[in-house]
Amino acid sequence: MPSRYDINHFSNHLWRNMNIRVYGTKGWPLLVFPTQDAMCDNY
Amino acid sequence: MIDELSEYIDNGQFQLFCVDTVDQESWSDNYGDKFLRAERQENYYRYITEEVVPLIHEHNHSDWRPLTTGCSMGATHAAIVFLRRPDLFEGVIGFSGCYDAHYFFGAWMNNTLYDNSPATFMPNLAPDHPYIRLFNQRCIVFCVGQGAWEDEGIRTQRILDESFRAKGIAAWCDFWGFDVNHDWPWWKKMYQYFLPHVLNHCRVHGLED
Repeated sequence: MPSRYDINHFSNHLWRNMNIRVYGTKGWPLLVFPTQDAMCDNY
Repeated sequence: MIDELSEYIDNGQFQLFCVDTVDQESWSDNYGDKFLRAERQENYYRYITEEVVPLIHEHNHSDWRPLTTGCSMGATHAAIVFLRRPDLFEGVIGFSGCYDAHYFFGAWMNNTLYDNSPATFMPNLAPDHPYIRLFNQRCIVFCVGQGAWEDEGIRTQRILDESFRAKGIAAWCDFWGFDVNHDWPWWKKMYQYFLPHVLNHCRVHGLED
């Protein structure tokens, strides 16, 4: 399993806390959207 | 899916940034007020382009424009943000998305929803729009099967395909076989098939092995 960590931050546009799960430490950045209604840990 | 991509991640070729969604307040909120649902999606678009993209640059320690990707609804989001802001993103990899907001909102439409409906706005893109030059510098991959639960994916990807062709935009829109269903096993095969092509694009634009 690749290395991973989470970013938790407050979104001013959505007015709530949002999470981003990051896999890997380098390489070309790939912004991944989960399937309908899912969250960042469901991919 | 992470297991499927682990080789690329472990080799330092791709770094993945997986985001949360607010679909339950926008696309999936079938009985909600349509104006508010569209506004929520627009706020999500702004969240991605104005808050997530800078965070990606910070954590990736590069100025490489991120590629966007996703399957099903994830592909819809990936297409929306890329096609609206090709100046921010290096490309899109979308599998089995539905790119027409009417599928989720019925006949209702306003300017905000229009901006979040690629199958609606792409055919209207002016032939001299500056984004066309940008699109041709980017990596555009869309794929959909022609098996079960892919009807809307086929229909709306075809609209995108025709728009790209009509405007001279180089995009790879692939339609797989009649046994290819709207499901994870096929999306895993699609990533394995298309990622080498995407990786070549990244190498040309500065990714080192």
